[in-house]
Amino acid sequence: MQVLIKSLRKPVVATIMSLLLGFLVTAIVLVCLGNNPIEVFAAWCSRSLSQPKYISNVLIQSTPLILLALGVSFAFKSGLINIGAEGQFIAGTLTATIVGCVCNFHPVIQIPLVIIAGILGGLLCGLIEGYLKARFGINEIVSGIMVNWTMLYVSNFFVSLEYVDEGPSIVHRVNESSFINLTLPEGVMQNLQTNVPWLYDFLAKPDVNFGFLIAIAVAIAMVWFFKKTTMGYELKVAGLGKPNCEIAGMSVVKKITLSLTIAGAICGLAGALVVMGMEPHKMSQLAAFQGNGFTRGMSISFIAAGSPIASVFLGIIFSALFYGAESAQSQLGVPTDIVNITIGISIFCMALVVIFPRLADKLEQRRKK
Amino acid sequence: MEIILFILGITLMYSSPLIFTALGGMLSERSAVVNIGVDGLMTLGAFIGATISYFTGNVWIAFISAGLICMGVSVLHGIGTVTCKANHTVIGVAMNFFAPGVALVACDLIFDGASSTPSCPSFPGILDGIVSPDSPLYYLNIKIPVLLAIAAAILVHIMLYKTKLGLHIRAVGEHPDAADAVGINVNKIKYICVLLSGLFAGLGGATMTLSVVSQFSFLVVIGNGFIALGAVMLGKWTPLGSLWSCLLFGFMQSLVVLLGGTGLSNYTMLLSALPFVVMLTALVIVGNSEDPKTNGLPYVRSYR
Repeated sequence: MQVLIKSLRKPVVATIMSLLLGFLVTAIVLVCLGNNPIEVFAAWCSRSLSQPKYISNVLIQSTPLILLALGVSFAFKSGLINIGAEGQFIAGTLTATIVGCVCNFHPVIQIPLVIIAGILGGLLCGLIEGYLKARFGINEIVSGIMVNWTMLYVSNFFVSLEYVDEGPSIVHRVNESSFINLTLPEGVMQNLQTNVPWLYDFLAKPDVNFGFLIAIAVAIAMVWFFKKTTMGYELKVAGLGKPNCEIAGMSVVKKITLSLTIAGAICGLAGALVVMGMEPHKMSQLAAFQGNGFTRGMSISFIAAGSPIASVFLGIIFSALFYGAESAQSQLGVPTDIVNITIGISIFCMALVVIFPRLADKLEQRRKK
Repeated sequence: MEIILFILGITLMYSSPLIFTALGGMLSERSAVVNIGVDGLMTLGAFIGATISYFTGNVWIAFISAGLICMGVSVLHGIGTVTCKANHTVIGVAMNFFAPGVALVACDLIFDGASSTPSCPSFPGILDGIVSPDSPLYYLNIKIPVLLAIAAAILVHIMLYKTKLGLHIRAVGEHPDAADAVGINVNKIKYICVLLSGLFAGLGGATMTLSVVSQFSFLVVIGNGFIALGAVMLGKWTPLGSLWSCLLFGFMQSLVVLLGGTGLSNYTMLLSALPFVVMLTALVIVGNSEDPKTNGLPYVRSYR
């Protein structure tokens, strides 16, 4: 019992339990729809994890999810809800694509250049939202939404500029020098194919890129930032409220602005990496939000309770979930959007995580009696 | 003259869903419950409105049932925020996944894999049959929900400022401890407001599919709830203020449509961004509006 009480207080337990509850409710929904939940879940898993090339795809797709979740989590540490992640992501893709098309240097220069361009795009958006919140008190949720829609249309505008005649969908591919895909020499690939077939399968996908490693690096950097640096500490204090900040002598305006700016930079980085790492390496006109930042980044961040390491794991899990559900859709006839219900319930349960410490208290009281 | 009528008509048409949803958001926030989930509920309401209208052919049944069903779903929001005292924003985001998810799954099942419903009957205009489609007065042929929206705004205003319930709502939002001391059941009032916000959000969504566009398509509806929330803030959390802010947004949208037809059509995309930029600028100009003091905070009766 003691173990139960202690474990109930840990945030990771809350995450796991919320996910389980989310899956449970999804299973119930599936039963109501006449499907066998075990069959469905098994299909989702097999479609995403059974072969090396599937796993490879999952990891590749998880890169933007992880980074977006990190972007939201970063702001969350200061108590800010970064709904503008979607717009920051779009801004990142926009600036990265523009620089990627216009400049064509050697990869050693080009790649960092495009990455920085993407970061700047997201950073600017975050800066606007942060400043509006800090200086004018405008709720970051509303400003985030406004900026999101604005960036959507601005990016569509840029896309429409390039190809007025040739149709509304695509813009120049970014120059090859900006790709960050892994291409090993022919000989090495052949060698792998014969000796280590699973590794070959893993690396043979054209989309394989080291963006995933960048995402993990950012996660680790975040953990270090908040645990070990003064600025990280100050941002956390800023999240506790204005009076605390002022007593400690910090400028609240600067801290809030900084928080959203860096969060925006992270989301912009996500955008840059998507354009650089994944086919088709270009932007298209968006009819509406694709739900990258908003649905996926935010949901992962919330279920991870704002923890960077958990965001990485959850990013991978959710990427597998989305990918598996999409692939299995034709096979099973189960709509992909069921996954949205899973996510919704999981977030709901995470928010109720407040209950767990209290449950732990109650159990403790009962035990003492 | 024709242009003015055109703008007037389109403004009213675009604003009516926003007005309903903004009223809902405002009521909820007045009792200190942040309800971001109105966006998801609006999407669900839009879907329900379109579907029921398609199957029954009666727009009024569809309209009202959309409101009622969304009111039911908002009970979840209430449980999360009032009973379990969780973070309001997070619960709202959860609702924003859950409600549209349900709508999309239901759409998939009922309409065999489609992600938008087929065209359904919609509200008739007030001037139908009286004014021919050719004359410029046809622009004023607004649909009934517009009138309902404006009437609702006025009614909510009267309710909030002239009735006892309204006073209780405002008290609960500003100073729940005092309200509790006087004997007002704080949690009950909060629940009432959350349910009302669900009702209005559903009505707003149904307005969208029953009078603005005549079918449900996920992409068209989503995101409007947030615009309505922005309008609530711009309107300083009052019913009439929200009404004017929604009309402002509708006006901007009508300008976009108008200017889109002229030679500036290359810049349609940039123009579409205009309403949002204007809203943001308006928020900056209007300044730091005061939301109800305890907005977003759970109410826990303090033990003496």
